[in-house]
Amino acid sequence: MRNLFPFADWQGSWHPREDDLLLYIDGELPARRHARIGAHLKECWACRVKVEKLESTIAAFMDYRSRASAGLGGSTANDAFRLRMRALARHEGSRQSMREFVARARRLAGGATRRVPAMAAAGVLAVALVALAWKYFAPAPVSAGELLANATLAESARANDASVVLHRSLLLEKRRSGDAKPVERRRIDVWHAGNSGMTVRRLYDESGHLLAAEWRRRDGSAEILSPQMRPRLEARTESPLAMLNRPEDLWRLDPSAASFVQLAGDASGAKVARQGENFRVSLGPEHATGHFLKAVLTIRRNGLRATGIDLRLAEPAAPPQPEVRTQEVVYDYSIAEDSYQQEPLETAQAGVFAPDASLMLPEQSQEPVVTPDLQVETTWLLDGIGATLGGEITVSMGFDGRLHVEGIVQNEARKQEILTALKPVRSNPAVQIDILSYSQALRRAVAATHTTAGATPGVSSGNSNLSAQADISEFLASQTPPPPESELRERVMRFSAEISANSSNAARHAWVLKHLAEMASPGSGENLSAETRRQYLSMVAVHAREVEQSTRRLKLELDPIFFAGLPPPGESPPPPTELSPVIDRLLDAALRNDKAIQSAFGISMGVESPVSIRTAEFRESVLETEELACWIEKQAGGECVEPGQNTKASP
Amino acid sequence: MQLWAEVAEQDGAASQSAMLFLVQPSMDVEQEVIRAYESLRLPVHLYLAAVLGDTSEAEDICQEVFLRLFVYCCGRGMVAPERVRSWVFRVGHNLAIDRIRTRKFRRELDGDDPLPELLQLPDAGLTPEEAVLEGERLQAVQRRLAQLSSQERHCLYLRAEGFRYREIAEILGITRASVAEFLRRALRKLMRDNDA
Ligand SMILES: [Zn+2]
Repeated sequence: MRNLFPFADWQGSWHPREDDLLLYIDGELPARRHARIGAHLKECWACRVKVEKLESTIAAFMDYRSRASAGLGGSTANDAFRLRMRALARHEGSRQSMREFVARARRLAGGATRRVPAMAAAGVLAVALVALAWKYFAPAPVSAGELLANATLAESARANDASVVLHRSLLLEKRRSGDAKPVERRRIDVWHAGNSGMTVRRLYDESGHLLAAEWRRRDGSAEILSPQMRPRLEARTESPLAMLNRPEDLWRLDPSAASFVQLAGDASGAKVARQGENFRVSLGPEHATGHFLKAVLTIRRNGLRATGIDLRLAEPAAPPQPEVRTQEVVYDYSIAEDSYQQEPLETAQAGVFAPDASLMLPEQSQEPVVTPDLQVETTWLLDGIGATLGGEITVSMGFDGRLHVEGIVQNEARKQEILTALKPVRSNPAVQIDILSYSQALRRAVAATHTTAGATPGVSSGNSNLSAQADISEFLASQTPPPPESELRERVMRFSAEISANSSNAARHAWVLKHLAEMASPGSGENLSAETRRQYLSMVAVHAREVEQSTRRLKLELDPIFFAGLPPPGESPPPPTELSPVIDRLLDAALRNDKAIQSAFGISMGVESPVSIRTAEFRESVLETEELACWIEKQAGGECVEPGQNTKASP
Repeated sequence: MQLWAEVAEQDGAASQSAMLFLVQPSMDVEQEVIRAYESLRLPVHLYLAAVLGDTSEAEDICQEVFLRLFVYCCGRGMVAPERVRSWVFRVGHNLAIDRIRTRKFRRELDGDDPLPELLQLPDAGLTPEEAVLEGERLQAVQRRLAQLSSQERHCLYLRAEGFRYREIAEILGITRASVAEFLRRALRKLMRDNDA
């Protein structure tokens, strides 16, 4: 039963909710509510005991926390940090000379004071000019630091050019040091897409058989596939130094200035020699660590592109008998560029970035089987682009035994981004992907309501064709004191934006609830462990609460402007009994409201004429949304006061 | 210099190393970062330990955070003092979550035991009787803390640092309403009469 009087404490039985009490003691409430609760606490012992309890819980935790913190912070930490800090700041010298050079090069490029955005063509041009300048004007003794820094820049400018795909082919040779004949020869084929930042690297043997491949994303995380082993994932780029300990992984080392710098650590000790069209940067014995003895990077003077790297490593020889002491054999590796091409994005072969069927483990290509690995990997891929946050995308086991990846995302661009991230698992028949952009979902849902229920109540064109903004403007202008004329427009826009945000937030969380409901319908609920069930319910409660709170804010915002003058609301609909259909109803209602709001404020992408939200039906729909969300929240163990008992007249 | 710093920044991982060459750290920035480290390292360390459940890993990341602060400030000067605190907590939080993610992954592959997710309590130099009483009290708190979800724990520890809800929301990348909700649940679970 809805209360006709907006102030429930009129009846003397009002107490603040527990979460409001916490907000109160944390000083997080708006002044008016704060004052109101403060006044109530003076009167009410029961609530004061609750506050006391919160405070003593906080005190117990703070005590525990300070005990635990007493065990932290050894005095050595400070020294260790200072040392790391110094090492980081030590490149002073090479930087100094670099600065002068850059100033010269940029005067040459005619852009002395211009700030050039990195990805823009102008930025690429500036870097190219600097690279060109290096060819003709390089200062006589070149320092390794400067050279590598500029080559790194030229590399990143090429790698970030979104209009091209880079393709280069490398030859890897391994010899016993001193021998002319290689013991191993491999070909490495590298593709890099500037727009997505994806790099694919394939390793072939001499007869052209694909041995392994690596997919590396812009953030440095990588996946390695090879028929000999299960798929391997790396969350971050491994340092090349670590790679040296596993020479079988050397094919993944890029001959580039960037990786050479990582190899060198402090590159200021490296030596540079000019050799015809190339610079050769070498790290001598003084840089040797572990198995690593020597490295030489070749950089073409034209374009400052690294075209090859030579490494000398000492590897433990496999002892013929266990008791024989392990000896080391010195090997020379050379990775050298064989060909290099930039292809326009449009003409690059589409297939080069797709996973190779021959690398898939046999069991993956048969029955669609969802392994825990697949589930983790899929989640990991999504996580990498932040798509698991806030339930944007859900990954769940479907009744068909397949892994369902579903979600509603903000826009088409985001959808494409997610699909790209999912590429490694997209071809897996055990994965079912269903991702809609928000507007797609809305259209789909609206189409569904139209075909099943005919016209939707709130959306039917009312008698008023006034724009909602005009209504808000009129309302704000009638306030006392009225806002200054100059601010009015701004205030109207802000108010409209808030309304729109609350409405779409409610719809978004209603979608998440819908997905949660599909993930574990009541029948499958018994299969959940107690812990999972608890987690599940708490998720339901959080999202229901978001719907409820957004809708409540929406109602409070709309109430004085659009619902004033309407007849009082009628009887609430009968209380629901089952969760799943209620979530369906909630989603319907939230989407319906949102469509009406977006349309009334002229934000919707459709071509329909703006509709009126000044109708009793629309208000009914908003109130229903709030009530349903509240009911769901309570079912999931959350606390929610029936909307009618907590309503206030104005925001 | 601006151009170079920007190019390097856009490129992320590959040019982290380039940044080291390209940016010009002034002595001031270095001193400022060391000062920030000295005054904030314990709170950051404590928070990261609570997130990771491992104090030495937390210390490692804690240092990493301030080194990143240094690199970050090199290009553009020191972060405004009032922003430093939430900056280091935000970056630290993200690094810790990354670490947990790779740890989980490694665990998945190696089948290690899950790591404990709580802080270890040191000896506080109490008499045996005191120690027993204290110990029981603290262990009760610890037991209840174990019931918290990771997000509830993050919010709780950040609130204990004195952050406002808005700041916590910013650090964790969630809404302010969620912060309020997580805190409410955290305290609910920590209440004494909640031990069933
Ligand atoms: Zn009361």
